[in-house]
Amino acid sequence: MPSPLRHPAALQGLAVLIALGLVIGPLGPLLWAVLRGDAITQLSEPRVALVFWRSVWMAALSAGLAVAVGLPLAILAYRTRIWGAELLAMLMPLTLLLPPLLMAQGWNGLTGWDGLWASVFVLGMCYAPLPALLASRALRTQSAAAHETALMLGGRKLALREMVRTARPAVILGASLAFLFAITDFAVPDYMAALGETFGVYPGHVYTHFRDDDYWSGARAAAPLVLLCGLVLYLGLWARDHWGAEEVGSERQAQSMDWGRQTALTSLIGWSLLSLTLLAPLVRIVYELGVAGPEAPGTWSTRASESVQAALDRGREDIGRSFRNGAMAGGLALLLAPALAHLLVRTKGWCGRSIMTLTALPLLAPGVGYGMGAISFANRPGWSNFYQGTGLVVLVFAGRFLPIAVFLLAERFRSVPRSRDDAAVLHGLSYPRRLIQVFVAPQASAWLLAATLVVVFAVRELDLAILLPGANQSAAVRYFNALHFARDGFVAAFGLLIAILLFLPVMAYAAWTSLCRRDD
Amino acid sequence: MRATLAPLLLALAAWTIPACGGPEHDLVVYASHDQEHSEPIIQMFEELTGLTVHAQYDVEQNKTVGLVNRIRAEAGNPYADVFWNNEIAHTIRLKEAGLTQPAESEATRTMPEEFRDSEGHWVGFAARARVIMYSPELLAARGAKLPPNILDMSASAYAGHGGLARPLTGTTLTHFAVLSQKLGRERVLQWLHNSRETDLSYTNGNATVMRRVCQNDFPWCLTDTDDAAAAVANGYPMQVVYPNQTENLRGTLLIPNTVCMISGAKNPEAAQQFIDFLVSPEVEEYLAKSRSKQIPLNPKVTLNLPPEDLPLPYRDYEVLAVDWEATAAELDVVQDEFQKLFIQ
Amino acid sequence: MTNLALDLRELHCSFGDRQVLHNVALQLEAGDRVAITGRSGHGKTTLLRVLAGLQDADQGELKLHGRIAMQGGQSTLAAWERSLQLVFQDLGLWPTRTVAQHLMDALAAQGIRGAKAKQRSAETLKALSIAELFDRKPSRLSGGEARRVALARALVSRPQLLLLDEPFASLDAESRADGFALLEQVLAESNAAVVLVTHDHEEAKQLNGRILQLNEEGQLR
Repeated sequence: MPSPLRHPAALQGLAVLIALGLVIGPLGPLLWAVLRGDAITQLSEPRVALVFWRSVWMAALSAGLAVAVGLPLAILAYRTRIWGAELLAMLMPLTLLLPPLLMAQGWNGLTGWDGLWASVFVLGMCYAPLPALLASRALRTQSAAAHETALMLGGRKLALREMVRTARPAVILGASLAFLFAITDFAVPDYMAALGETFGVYPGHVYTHFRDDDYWSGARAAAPLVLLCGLVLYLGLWARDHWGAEEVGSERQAQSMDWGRQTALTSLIGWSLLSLTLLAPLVRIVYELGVAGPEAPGTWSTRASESVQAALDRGREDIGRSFRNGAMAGGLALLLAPALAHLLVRTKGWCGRSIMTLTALPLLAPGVGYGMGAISFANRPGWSNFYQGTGLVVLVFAGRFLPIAVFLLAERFRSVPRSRDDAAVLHGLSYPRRLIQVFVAPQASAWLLAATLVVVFAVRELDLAILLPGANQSAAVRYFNALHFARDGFVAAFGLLIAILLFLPVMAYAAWTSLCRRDD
Repeated sequence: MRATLAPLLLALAAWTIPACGGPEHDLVVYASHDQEHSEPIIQMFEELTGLTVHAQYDVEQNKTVGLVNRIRAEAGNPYADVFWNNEIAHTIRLKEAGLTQPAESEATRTMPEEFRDSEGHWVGFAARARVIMYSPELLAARGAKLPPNILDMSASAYAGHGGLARPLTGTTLTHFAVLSQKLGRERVLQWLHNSRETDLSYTNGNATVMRRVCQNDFPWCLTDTDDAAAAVANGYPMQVVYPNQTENLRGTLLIPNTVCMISGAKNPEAAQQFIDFLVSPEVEEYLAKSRSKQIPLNPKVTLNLPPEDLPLPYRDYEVLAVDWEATAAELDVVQDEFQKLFIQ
Repeated sequence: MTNLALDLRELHCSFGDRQVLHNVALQLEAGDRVAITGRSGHGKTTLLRVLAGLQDADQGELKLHGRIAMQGGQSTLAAWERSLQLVFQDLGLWPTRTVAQHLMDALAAQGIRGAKAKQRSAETLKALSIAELFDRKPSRLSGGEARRVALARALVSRPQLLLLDEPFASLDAESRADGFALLEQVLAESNAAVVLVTHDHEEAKQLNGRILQLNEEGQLR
């Protein structure tokens, strides 16, 4: 019996409509500014152009640094036998959970580095897990035959080169994402410029315009950034499509490579790289818990314990609310992402890349612009319950971070053999069933990781938290409020507490994947 | 796997779905103040009146001044009833934009005239002073001297040993708008220009410049009294000077917290109650005794604190007279010029 | 002629500038078997995918048991409405489903569920001598077992046309002979027409049907 449910169009269309609603609702004016050509004309002002191009090359350097650190880290942690490889792999994404400003403070406290180059370095370290995580997924799917052949033909050197080749498409996309996050970050350059050599970045220009005038002025200022980010993402996707090679051969996955007598050295390299991206600044943040001037009462440990206690007492409810909002946004992403990811995988060429870029718009736009757009969209007479409630928060957070989930899933769906999907079509499985059976269930761990990342980014989000009534009493607002009012011990303790709690979903994900492995 | 997923999803739904409606409340307060102080004050108000307040907080990170943006964006259908701002310039700008309404009462009229709006749109309370904080130890070690007033900070004899926040936001922006209004725009821009050549250090905020003095990067900085108080509370041996300025600029600049009622507020009575409560001697006393040591403006406040603990305006130092309306208008103009100078 | 199981005429199919199928025609009556040989990349799999309704063509008409399935190269009948099945070269088994679930999913699409579906699945597995694999997932099957499961999934819905894409290509001679014996046995009980594509002439012969060749120009001879 033919059923409309067998056609993907209905469900995919619904998911696209919701996603487009989440894009066009809040970002309409911004898109209009891009279309009117305002994106380019304002760059004719030399001061604006100077700041814009500085931001571009700084972000490009940070993305390059993220790859230089992230790719070796991924290879060492996921595909070679070094000491503590599993722990290394588990700790690696933790950096993404820490607010970049916290990392900047950690590095500055540790080394005294400041100014422009320190900003490039810190942002590179902050976003190194992006290429690393995407590469790790690709590395895990490398066929055993390809790896073993390389090992036999050219030893470890060729095997490593093959791993790099396998990871290359994912790394290109990871580098694009690192670029996008680095170029839109304002907190780190602002902090580093405040400590050392003064320099401006383009997001500063954008924020200033959102503050000074109306939304249109901010949208106009943000337009070049959004346009550039869209272009970079499109080019990243193009590069992946053209340079990427699909794995052929057996479905047996390659085993981890043994380093033999070089195990100690490679382990040292692996853990040193993790120290750069996580451990070193984290140690400094822990030290900040109880650091105080010479006349402060008590010892480091008593002050540290007071800071932790204060963080627990004052921040507990905010953390609960942040996680609940994040979990709901993650839940919505769980529902929407598979159909969108499948649509992206099945839509080839420029059309697919364009859809993917459009889907990413909420992520490319400055948070303040997205939030202001959401206010003008949702703050209407008669909508007050919706406007002040959690529903709007969930939609807006899900809309902003859905692209992360969709990209991650699309990468995984791409590796599903076409015959499995064709077999499902031939047997007349309904589209939701086909989506779950062929794509989601075998990639359940990626599906959950995608939702987990949405939770993590939603909890970290500050601009939207300030602007949306239902999101305001949150961990992010309390953290940055305390930071502004110089509550150093509290800031360190609360930052660590958030990071530890954010790490819980990641651990839940790790537990889930091990459960899946046991099931199989 | 399905058996594991189903209870997980159910638990998630049970945790999240009940939260989907908006909170029940009698009053919405937007507060851009230290959450650690504003929260207990709002709680005190709730206990005193039995009203439920939905509070929204702000941060000055990222330079968004988010709640001011939000009030502007919500103008067509205001959500906030009251805006409690930890400075004054943005409050006046909101008034100029027609986003506030008069909220005068017996209580607000007890505040000094120079700290309230002639039309009753806003009232100031619990101020911060713009002071020079310094490390006596480092000053002596470097053989440096403190600038005798604000304008001399850029002189080569002093500039290399001190710093301040860039005048792009917060109280430093307000401070330079005051200077510009009083001394003339050209003179202030020239001063800022010169200061960059004489190596005066600029940071992204008052707290950062305070931290840099604590870290012995340089011996003095221009900052707010609450940041200086935070440094002392954190155990750093810092001293504070209330600059008495020059012939043209007599007295130290005080920047008060301000509170205003949003135009079209849905709960005007509760809003008025809250405004009256904020300007009451009890709240000012609470803020004066807090870690941030906010300076009380209500003449009815009786503090039993010695001058070395909390110097009081008029009694212990002169206060700079400011035309706040003119300052806010000046701020609109000079802000662009400052950005051109500093965002490069 | 109106009762032809498969009636394909003037099929043209290209990928970009490359023409892979050129004016292909093929007619089969119920129970007919045809093996199509050709070198790798000559469009054998594309032909099967077009027949199965998984891919459109540039031009061509197709009727299946008198029903119009394709006109002007565009599919007019969905893949699941064509009463045919395809055994894929890489099998296309679903990794999270057990063997029984593979078969029952296929039956559910025909409206057969519950005990009846379970019984029919068990019978089909038994016929293919893999009844003991009922609860296993694909990751725990050997290559030969997986091939039988793929065949069982295709046959359980009793298709009128069976398409086989190099079904025994990677097997040794003995296993392949076993495979064809098994196929012979299950086909004996049905009247399904069979189209097998392979690059191996020996494999083509073992089907015991007509043998056609798809040449470099994409023509069927």
